[in-house]
Amino acid sequence: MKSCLIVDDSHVVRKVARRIAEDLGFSCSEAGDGQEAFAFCQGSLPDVIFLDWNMPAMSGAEFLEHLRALENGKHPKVIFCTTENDPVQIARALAAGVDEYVMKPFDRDILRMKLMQVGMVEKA
Amino acid sequence: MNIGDFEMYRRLLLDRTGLAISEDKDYLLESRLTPVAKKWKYSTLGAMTLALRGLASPDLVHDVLEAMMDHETEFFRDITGFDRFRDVVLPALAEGPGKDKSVRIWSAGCATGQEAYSLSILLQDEKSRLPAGCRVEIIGTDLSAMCIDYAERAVYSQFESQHGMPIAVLYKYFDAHEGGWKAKRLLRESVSFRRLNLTDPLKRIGVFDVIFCRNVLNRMDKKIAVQILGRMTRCLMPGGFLLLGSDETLPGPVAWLRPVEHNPGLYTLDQSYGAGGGDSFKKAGSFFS
Repeated sequence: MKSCLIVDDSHVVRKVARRIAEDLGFSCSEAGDGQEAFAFCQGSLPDVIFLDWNMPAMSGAEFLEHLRALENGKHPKVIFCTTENDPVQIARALAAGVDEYVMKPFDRDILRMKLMQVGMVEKA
Repeated sequence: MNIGDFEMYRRLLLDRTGLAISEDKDYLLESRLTPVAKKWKYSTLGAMTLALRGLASPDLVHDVLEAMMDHETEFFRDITGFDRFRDVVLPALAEGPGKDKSVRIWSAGCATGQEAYSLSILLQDEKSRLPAGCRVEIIGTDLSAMCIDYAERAVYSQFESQHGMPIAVLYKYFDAHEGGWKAKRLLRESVSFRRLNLTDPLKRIGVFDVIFCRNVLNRMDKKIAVQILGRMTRCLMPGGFLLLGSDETLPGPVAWLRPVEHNPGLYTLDQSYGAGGGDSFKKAGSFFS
């Protein structure tokens, strides 16, 4: 079973994303900010990370930079889930090494499609 | 909704569009038509139904039909079809006679245009596979005026943009626009849209190299679907392709349409069909202008 880490400072968003990911067959863990997420990844790298952009303590962009610097840090597929829809931010995220980018609000179909695009879920 | 009223709406939809609706969809009809009754200031859906049984205004009939039609679509929907287009159809088109001139594609039942723009994206990405200078013309048609207006604006909400489209593609081919995303000019300039009822004669639509008609015929009355398919066949160049949904089959036998082996939903028009006739139509140019 593939593993998923959901990183968002909103408990509601984490709950929604978790329900969708579990329904799609992932085992899920959660983190409320980038620091917590990085500590988790130092112990065990998940297969996919849903990552918010704006978070306290450590932002999504900062977390991503630290993640990719880890040994095997390029392994997890990172999907930004964020309210940021500014093309400049999207370009920054792409340059920083995200694999996909979801603009909130999202639904099951969108998350499934993004997971399919990063190779975590088979084509329907 | 009582059976008599449902039958009236069912008949109206069938007669005007060829679309079939089953009895178990009466709840759906009711939920779609109630807002129309409200818009037209009828106190109840029943009152509107009564008006439709008499001499109803064409605008009311138009709104009722719009509400009954399903406009579901998304970018790169049923992506297998696009994979087949790229891997099977495009190489064949690139080799065909006269392909240094143009490639004409018809997205039949295009709804709000996402299929047509998806094709435009794919062809931009794959343009090296076509002869230099090859002009691409994609025409999207739908019965719904509302859908055609939407498609022509080429602005999609955040939600719509994300359905079916990788972020890198969205960023490359769309501009942020008033909270949503607008297709860039390089996509729009090869795409045009027209209102068209597939049950009407198709004499003035021109001839195409490829017709996408996915999840359209399978919603129609079978007899009407076969008639439409026959007329569509006459709009295909010899050697041209018809793409249905990947889980669809032809509604009935159609002479000269051959399935492409190992590619469900993909058919090609026998090269010997109407030999020369297609070329003379195409040289005369598009009949849309």
